[in-house]
Amino acid sequence: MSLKILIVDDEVDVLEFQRCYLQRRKYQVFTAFNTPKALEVFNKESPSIVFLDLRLETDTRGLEILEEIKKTKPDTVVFLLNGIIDKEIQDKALVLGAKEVLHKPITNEVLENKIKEAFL
Amino acid sequence: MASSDFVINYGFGFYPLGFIPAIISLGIFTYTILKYHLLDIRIALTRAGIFIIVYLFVLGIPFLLGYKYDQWKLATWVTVVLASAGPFIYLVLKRQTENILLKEQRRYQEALRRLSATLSLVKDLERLLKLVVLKVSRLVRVEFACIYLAHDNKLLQKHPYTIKGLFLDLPKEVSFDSSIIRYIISKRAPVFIEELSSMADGFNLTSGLIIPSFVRNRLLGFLLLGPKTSGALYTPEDANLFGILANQLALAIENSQFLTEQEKTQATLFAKERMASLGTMAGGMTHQINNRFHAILMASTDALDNFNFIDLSPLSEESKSYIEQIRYALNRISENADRGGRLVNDFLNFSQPDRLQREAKVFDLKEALQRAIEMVRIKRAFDQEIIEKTIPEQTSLKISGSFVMIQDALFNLIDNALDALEKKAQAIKDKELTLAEGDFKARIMIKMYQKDSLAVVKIQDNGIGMTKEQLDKVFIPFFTTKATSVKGTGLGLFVISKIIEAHNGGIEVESGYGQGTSFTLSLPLAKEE
Repeated sequence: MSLKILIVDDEVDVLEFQRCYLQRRKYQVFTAFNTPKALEVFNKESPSIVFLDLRLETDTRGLEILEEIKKTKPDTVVFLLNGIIDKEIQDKALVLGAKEVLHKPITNEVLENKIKEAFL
Repeated sequence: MASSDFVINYGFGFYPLGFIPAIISLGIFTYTILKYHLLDIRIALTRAGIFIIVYLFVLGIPFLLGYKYDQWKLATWVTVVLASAGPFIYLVLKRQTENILLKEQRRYQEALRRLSATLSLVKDLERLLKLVVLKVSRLVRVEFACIYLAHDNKLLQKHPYTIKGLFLDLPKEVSFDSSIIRYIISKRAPVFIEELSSMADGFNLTSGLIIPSFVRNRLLGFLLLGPKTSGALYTPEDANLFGILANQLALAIENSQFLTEQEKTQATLFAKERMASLGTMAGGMTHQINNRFHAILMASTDALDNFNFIDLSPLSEESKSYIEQIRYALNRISENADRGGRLVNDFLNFSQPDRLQREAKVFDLKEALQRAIEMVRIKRAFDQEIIEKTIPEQTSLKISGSFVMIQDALFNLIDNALDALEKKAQAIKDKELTLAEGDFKARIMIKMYQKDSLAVVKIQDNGIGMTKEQLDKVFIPFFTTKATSVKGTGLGLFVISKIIEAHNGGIEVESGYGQGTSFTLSLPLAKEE
């Protein structure tokens, strides 16, 4: 059984290329480009890992999704991605239960390494 | 005098000694009058003179008529008329002569009154003080004048004025604890220099006037006037008049100090606001740019990854070389996007003025340094023996600021040092440096110590070093000694220097090409609570 991964980002390019990369490595990948879709997919598929863009549609609703995920299924590993280094948001995310806050830009290799680290 | 004479009147005869107390007291009175200007002696003598002359006529003419011409009846009438007119004549004559005598004084009294009225119009403190010194010294015609203005616990000399060729021999500052200042504060009115002559730290002057300015009970400063060029002494009228000027001056000083302070606050507020809005803008911009870099990086790393799954063996050598070219290009794209992101983050680091405030706390610099070294160890593969630490074991060096920012700054300096070592090794290999490969023993020495109230970190390497030209430009943004295609954004040292500056610290660099580089950071120790 392969790991289920959900990628949430409002950039279609990001979703597409990350999905391709991970699928080649036999992960089961789901994508979502906004908050409602993200929660819908999450509830339906219960992925083990979520890559979550912090700023969707220019607000910080990523934290809302994180909160919701942690409420529904606390053992989900959530990586938050942020375009800027913002210590305040980083602290909030860690308190809410994010595994790590990653800073964009980031390579596919690094992202896959994070998955491996989390499930070794 | 009568008081010293009464013993005789009561019948206690001391003669010939009895008149001695009378003479002594007369002497004392005269001395005090002259010494402390209790009476303007010229005015007193003039008044007495006029009085004597007028009454010489008032009484003299009737007696002359009576004795010489035996006209006693006429003399009586003349006496009545003259005695009635006498006081009027005396008053008229007195006013006329005093006008002549005091003409000079009246002139500057009037001018001082006008000056007092204009003081509140001058907003700039320095201009105000200068105006007062110049106007007053010209009006009163003094040999010299200056202002002492309160600053912390002392008064500083300002705007000295002297007539040509005179050297002003006055202290540059006077402490609030000195006996002169204590005397001025207790008197709260203009002080004649003569009053201070007995004080050890008094001004070394023969004559002069000190005009203090108070606001509520606070001494703002005083105007010191030297002797008048005419040689005339300061009179109590002068003192009164200057008292009024002093009050006006106090208000004007307070006014202008308040305005200057307010302008300063406004300027900082404005600058802060501008920086804050720049920070917000930079934040938004960074986010957008990083998202673009992220999309590029996702695409390029995914594209590259495809090669791991393609079987290239059936392809011709020519096709393989094309594939290789594509792979190379994708690598370049990835690296550039990655570096672009780092550049943007570096930029953001110093355009966020409130970051330091948000992260500020008191921490041990030692801990930040150790964490920075640890970070370098994780990030880079190198011989651990290279780094040689001299860090005091026991003492902690507490500083106040952002732990993360300082840790980043130290990390970058050590990271740079490692680059410099690698570059030197390369230069030796390429025979750019005339040194045998075996003779180069790479070293980074990290020292930490306390110097007075500063915590100092010195990071020294024996790497490639910098030429004089490179050294001069080292803190300029976007200047880099590293080929940009290899590494570095050119923002590193600029950002580091900004971080240290923001912590009220200093950064010094010494370097010689082929010799190595050393950076010395000094940061003020946090004040003990």
